[in-house]
Amino acid sequence: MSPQADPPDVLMIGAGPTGAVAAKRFAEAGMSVVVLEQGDWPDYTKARADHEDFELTLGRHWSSNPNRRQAPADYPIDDSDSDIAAVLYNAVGGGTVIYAAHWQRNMPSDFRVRTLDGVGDDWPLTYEDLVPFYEQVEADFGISGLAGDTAFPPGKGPPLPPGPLGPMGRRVAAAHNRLGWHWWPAPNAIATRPYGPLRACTQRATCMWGCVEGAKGSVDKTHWPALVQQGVRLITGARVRLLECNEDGLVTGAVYVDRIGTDHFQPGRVTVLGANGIGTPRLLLLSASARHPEGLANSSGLVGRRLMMHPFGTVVGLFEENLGSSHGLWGQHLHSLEFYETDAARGFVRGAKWGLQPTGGPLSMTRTYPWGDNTIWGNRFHHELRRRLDHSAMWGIIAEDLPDNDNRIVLDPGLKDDDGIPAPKIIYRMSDNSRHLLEFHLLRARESLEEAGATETVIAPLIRETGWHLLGTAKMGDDPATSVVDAWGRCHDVPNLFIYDGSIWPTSSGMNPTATIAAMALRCADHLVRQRRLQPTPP
Amino acid sequence: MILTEAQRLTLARLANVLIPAGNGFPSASEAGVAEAFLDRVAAARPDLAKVLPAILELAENRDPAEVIDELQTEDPEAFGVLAELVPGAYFLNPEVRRALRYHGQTAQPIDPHPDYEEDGLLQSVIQRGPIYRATPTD
Repeated sequence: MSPQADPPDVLMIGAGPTGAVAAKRFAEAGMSVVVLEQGDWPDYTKARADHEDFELTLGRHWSSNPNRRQAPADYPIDDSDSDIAAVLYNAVGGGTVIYAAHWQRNMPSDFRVRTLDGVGDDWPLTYEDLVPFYEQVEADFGISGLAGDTAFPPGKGPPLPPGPLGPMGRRVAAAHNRLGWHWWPAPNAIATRPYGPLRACTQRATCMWGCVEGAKGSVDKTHWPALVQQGVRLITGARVRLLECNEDGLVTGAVYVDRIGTDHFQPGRVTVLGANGIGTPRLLLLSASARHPEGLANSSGLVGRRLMMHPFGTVVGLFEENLGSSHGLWGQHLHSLEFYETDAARGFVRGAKWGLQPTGGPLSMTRTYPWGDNTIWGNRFHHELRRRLDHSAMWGIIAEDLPDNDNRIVLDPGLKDDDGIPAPKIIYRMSDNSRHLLEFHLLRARESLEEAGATETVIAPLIRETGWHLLGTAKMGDDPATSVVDAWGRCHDVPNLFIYDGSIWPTSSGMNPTATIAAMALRCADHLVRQRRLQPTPP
Repeated sequence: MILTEAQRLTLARLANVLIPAGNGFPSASEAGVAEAFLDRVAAARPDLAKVLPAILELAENRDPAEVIDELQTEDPEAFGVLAELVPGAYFLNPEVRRALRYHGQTAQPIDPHPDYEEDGLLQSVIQRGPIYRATPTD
């Protein structure tokens, strides 16, 4: 093992959105920061949006499933006992490199699920507590959107104007007005005008597969270059396999293995985890010791449990009109939260957010997703292709998933990554509530598109590889017996170990989570900065 | 991609089952799916192309429609490879793209005119008022 360096004020694990937001706040406060990231910088030379073979190559270099991608930075995930496969990206920028950039705040009820709906848990904070942090991260990520959305309390809007509704958005907006249903120009982490390091979006609809314009607010663009310039030390190719503790019960630092297989020990006065809802519990479970036989910070037994992944559905509508829907923001053009809040008469609790998206180029018109059993092959090929290409619009539906102790991340007894470190295994079953919720929303979304003039609608089959949102596996709460971290992300059991990523969510909301992950990371980091003189650290 | 003439012929016959000629468009084989465009596709997706010889071996000297049916029902993964490579090659053909009026994921700068303000669209939403449940007070 390499010799020990002087400990920085903060050791961060993970250079995704959580790490970026927190590191920025720490650096602004003059604290020294070292970040360990198992991936490398994204390679945008492999982004093919401006090439003829874009659609063909997107599944190779930009697959969101690490089990398919099998890049050097990836670790395998055993998803054989899960209804949904997890998708994520191991690189500087983390999930924001491949996210669709739907920038959704949670709604006030998302923080009071137990009080309002009698299920799940309340968060130890309110929507109002988070508002100033939402506003700050929206400025930092270059969010586009429009103030005044009636699904949220009044407040300041994002810094950039929304993208266009376009022909499909205007059709659906008018339809929702006739139905009396909510819609609003969608918030996206997509720059609609030049903004700081971001260039203006050019509507190639390629956001999830390497944005060649540099318009998407991914933290490898919005945060890390500036942070590195300011002195934050970002170590790439550093796969953390263990957190070490001293006799006082404090974390002293992390052991990581570099890309040539050498172990290093990186100390830190405090350690902050931002490794996502799988990577974070994996690391805590890997850090089991005689003192912490069930894993670090796990006296509650909840590390890895309560995994929530947002079952995802889509409905596509086909229209006579040319909607130009091979292009656009992907991203979303508008969103609807009409059925987000609980209505007991529906037979389930909680709801879902809908985002209206383009459908892509010709090759996307032939795939089983989202077209399901409506195969295009044979004599109908050319006719169907004409009907679909530029003539289709798609609702993407994010269904709230409720916490369940049995849905969990464990260490796989046999599977290991390239460094011989036990891989995570997902054990997950979609609940009846989630199934009923999704069925209801898919039918309502079909009504929406029919009202908009769709001549045919296609409800996509539920597909496995949609576990983008990895939440809940290190629950936040006030009681150490029923939670892993407190309201500021501090582990109840280890006072200088913090978790800021989506693991700490008590409930999942029905929103794309990056906006709230970022705001929570900033709120937690801001608290640590303010309380740092009281913070216990190793000698 | 190194394929024999016989293998390319087998691929062309399979590809024509998926994409026959029609509506003024060429069939897959007429569009060069088993020729130059296959080589481009194979270079772009070597992970898929490496599976192709085994599929072609299975299909050799058989009715291509029967093979396609069989793959769809009994080996969806192999069918998925064909279903990606064949149209992937087809849509690389510039004549096909021209006929489709599809020129790739081209840059379309955003018009700064706010189209959500047209026809009072948003007013209807605003007039309906808030739809969220406020944070409960103790």
